[in-house]
Amino acid sequence: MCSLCGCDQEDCHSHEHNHDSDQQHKSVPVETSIMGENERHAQFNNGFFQGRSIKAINMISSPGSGKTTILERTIRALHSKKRFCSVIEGDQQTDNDARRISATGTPVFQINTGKACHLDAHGVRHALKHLDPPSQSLLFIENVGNLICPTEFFLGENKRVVVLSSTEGTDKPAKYPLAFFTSHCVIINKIDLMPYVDFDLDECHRLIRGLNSQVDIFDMSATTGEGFDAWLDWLSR
Amino acid sequence: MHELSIAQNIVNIALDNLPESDHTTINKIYCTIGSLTGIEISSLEFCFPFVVKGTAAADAALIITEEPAKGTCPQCQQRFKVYDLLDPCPNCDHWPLQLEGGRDMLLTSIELKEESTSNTNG
Repeated sequence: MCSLCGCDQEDCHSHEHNHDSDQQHKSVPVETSIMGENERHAQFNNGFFQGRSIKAINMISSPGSGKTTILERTIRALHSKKRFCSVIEGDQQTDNDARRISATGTPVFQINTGKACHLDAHGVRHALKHLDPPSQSLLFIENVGNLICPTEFFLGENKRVVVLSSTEGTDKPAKYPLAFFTSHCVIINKIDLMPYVDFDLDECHRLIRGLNSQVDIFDMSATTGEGFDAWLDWLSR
Repeated sequence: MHELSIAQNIVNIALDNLPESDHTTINKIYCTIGSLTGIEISSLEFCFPFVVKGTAAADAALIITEEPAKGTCPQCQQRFKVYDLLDPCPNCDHWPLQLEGGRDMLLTSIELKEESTSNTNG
């Protein structure tokens, strides 16, 4: 067993230690979190949300799972309840989604990440400065469509929601487990298409629950509105 | 490819800890990455040479230790190391397991190299 980290390998990775007496090599302890800078911005954002009693929701999914359609319907429903909300849109390119959200009369700020595959807390901090969301409001952060990269970047949100759709396959949670492991809520969207695709809803729930026993799961269709009320109730909790 | 941002973070932290001296460079960077983080170590190693270019860490080796999470099987109560969220209990094959840790990413230490010491016997 490796004496340094306790792993099972004899020659654990490449722990090289220079025990020479020459003074050329000097070790400096650092013990710093690699995500520390993102974490600092995320804590700032989190404090901002707390100070204004804002509920901030980070939405993560594969491209095309229906995040923007869910948001459009959610926003319209919240408007009818006189609940104010705003949106930060993350995409590599275009402001297409921002224009769709803007058409609902909701303030929106588009972040184009260029080549980057995720939003980070620093970018969201800048977006908050422009958007200036009011107290007691809801803020939706629609992350770049990607189930891998955004999971390691805490944005300061209060809740993380993962969206998958029935057309993506039953085993999506097993293929991209970390997103489900780190989320508070999972939306299974496009359930109206289930008669046309090979999707096992119960098995999908079993996989999600296995990865995260605490998570709330909502089966819905953002197109027909089926199952949407339970999601709206969750938002107002 | 979020590993590129992570590699950039590692180099920034290492350079921040480099004492101010014209003759000191970074020889090795030691990191510990939890097994339940979304970091692909081979991707991180691939990105590393691009981000160190032109810095005092240009010749540095990146030495990563993967730190496993601790798992407990709710069925047979056995405890063991877990490297993957989908790993079943090695004893009774039960899944899911109760998991602990495996989520940290730390730069633990750097090793410095003094360039000028070879000139001392002139």
